[in-house]
Amino acid sequence: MQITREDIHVLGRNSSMGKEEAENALKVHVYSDKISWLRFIQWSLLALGVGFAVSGILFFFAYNWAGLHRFSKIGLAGTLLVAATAVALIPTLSLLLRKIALTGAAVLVGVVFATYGQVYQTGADAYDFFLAWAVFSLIWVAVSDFAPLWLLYIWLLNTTLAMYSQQVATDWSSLMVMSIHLVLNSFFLIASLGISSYFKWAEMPNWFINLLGLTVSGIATVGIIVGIFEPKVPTFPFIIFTTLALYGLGVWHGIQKRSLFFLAIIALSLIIIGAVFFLYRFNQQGMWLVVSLHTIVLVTLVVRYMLKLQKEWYHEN
Amino acid sequence: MRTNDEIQELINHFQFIDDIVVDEAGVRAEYQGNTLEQPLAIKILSVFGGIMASVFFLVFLGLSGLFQYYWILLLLGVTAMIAAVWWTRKYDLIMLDSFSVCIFIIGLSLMGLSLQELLKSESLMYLSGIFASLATLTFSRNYLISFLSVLAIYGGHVGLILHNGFHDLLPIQAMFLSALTLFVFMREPYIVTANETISRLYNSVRMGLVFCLLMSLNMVTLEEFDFDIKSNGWACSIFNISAMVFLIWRLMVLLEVNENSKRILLLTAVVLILLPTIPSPAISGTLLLVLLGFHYDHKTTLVVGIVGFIYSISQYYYDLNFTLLTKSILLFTSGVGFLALYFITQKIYLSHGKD
Repeated sequence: MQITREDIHVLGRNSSMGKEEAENALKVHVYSDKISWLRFIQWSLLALGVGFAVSGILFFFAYNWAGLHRFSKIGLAGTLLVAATAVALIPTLSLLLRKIALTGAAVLVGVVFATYGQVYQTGADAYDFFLAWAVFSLIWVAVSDFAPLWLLYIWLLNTTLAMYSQQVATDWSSLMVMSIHLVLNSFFLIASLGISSYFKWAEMPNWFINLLGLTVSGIATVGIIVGIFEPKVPTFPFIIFTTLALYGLGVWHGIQKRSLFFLAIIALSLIIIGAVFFLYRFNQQGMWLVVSLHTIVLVTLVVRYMLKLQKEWYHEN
Repeated sequence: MRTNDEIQELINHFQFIDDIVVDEAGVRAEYQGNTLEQPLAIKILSVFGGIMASVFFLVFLGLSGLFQYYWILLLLGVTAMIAAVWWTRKYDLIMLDSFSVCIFIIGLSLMGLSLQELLKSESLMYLSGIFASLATLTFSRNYLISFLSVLAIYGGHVGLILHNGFHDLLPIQAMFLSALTLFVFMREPYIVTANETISRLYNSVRMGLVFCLLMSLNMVTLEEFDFDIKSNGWACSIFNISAMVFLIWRLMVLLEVNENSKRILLLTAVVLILLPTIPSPAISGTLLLVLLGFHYDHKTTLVVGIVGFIYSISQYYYDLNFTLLTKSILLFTSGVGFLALYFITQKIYLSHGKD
């Protein structure tokens, strides 16, 4: 049984435990030991070294950029891309280092395109640039099995969509754009959950799934709030039904996988949507008091339910 | 959360190892009270819910024209704060946290709004807020209320300082917070065995101090760089560096660096590396948080420290009044230095491993 800080605090309050015993217990069971510190120092020095050195190189090229010949600029970006890819292919390096190198290479694809666009003044719309970046890094993203790279890719696709709606599809309503964002991000969320459930070797880390969940919930919340103010837009029912379906799936997943995070963000989203709806629909002074009470009561009930679930899950373990 | 078997195992472990007398009923009551080990999701939901509800209620009060009756607002505010403390002492349940947070924020806001008009003095308003929050902290047993009280006390102090134009006090405040945070982390065993009230407040006060320290460091750095208000932030940096040297000195015992010559060499190296960061107290302060968070195994402090460090170092280099070339040389040289240290420590670590 792993003894935690909380256990020692409880015993400190309910026993004859003195400060020496508490200190020994904390040192043995909680505080970092010599091995952890040596590992931490090593990783910190490596991270600081790489971070500062790379920043120094970037600043150097920023200083010299205007004076460089166009072939030097593109050649430099291309060389860095090739070097990063080559590092990713060295079999003797650790898998983590190779994946980080591949992520760097995916970022450098964008740098190469940006440099090309700047040198030849292609006049391409920003969405062209992001789209090309996304297309040309797709294969690496697919084979990498590295969550930070997938996150970068999802950001790329969202940015491409945002730029496209601003520069080309200017007749699209904001709700339409949000619906497409919702579908795009939900697709990745459901795919991640599915992959994690059925392919254990490709399981996505929890932080990645939680971040995607937060993003989907945020888009759904903002989308419905915008729709409350513009209810006659045709895509509003689509957002509502998609959100309900996703939240139903989210609640099911939260209970199945014992994740309170999903339940919390869904609850918060629904409470916010409810509050905005009531305030807009019944535009009266007293409604602010009603909404205040509604928020408190709902949060209390949700927390009560979550605590009950937590207790059940703990006892099942 | 623990099962009965785990609680018994825990009690037996400490009774056997340390020969201490355990109040088994008290231990079981605490574990069954559901006030321990709140998941982060529940804490965040409670705080957000409480803040949202209090904002809606305050808007309602504003729209209904009650804001002109300052004595009624003051009475409501004081009653709400007392109710928040009483409520959480009587019904110490996590599920009521958002309600408690809500009435605490409403109480504090109403007190502040009414006192500002009644006393006609912003300084007195801040002082009243500080005393009210101190009283709440003394009597409250709830994690979130205590945490918010610490933030409110800090906010009151900052308000007092800025309103009266005593900008020179900001670095002193930051130094005080650094010292207090260091003390609270290092004296954990003493605090949690001192008495029950202080032990219960420990986690929330520590968390509150970490956030207050971060805000304080950023405020001092902001004044130095963005607002060009010279407020002796360098003194704060020197204090933080001294605190780090003190902490590292103690850590050397753990790391089995026993020769005095090696200790002095290491500490000198640390001071030399940190000397250029003196204009930005946030850098040394956040590094102190990283060290504290890692050693005392407090993940939130560690994450806050790392994020704060990355932000403050980026801001520092951005604000430096040098050309891009000079900055690139500084950065690259620092990077090479750190990588050299990495390979040296790697070699020492591997050679000791073989021994």
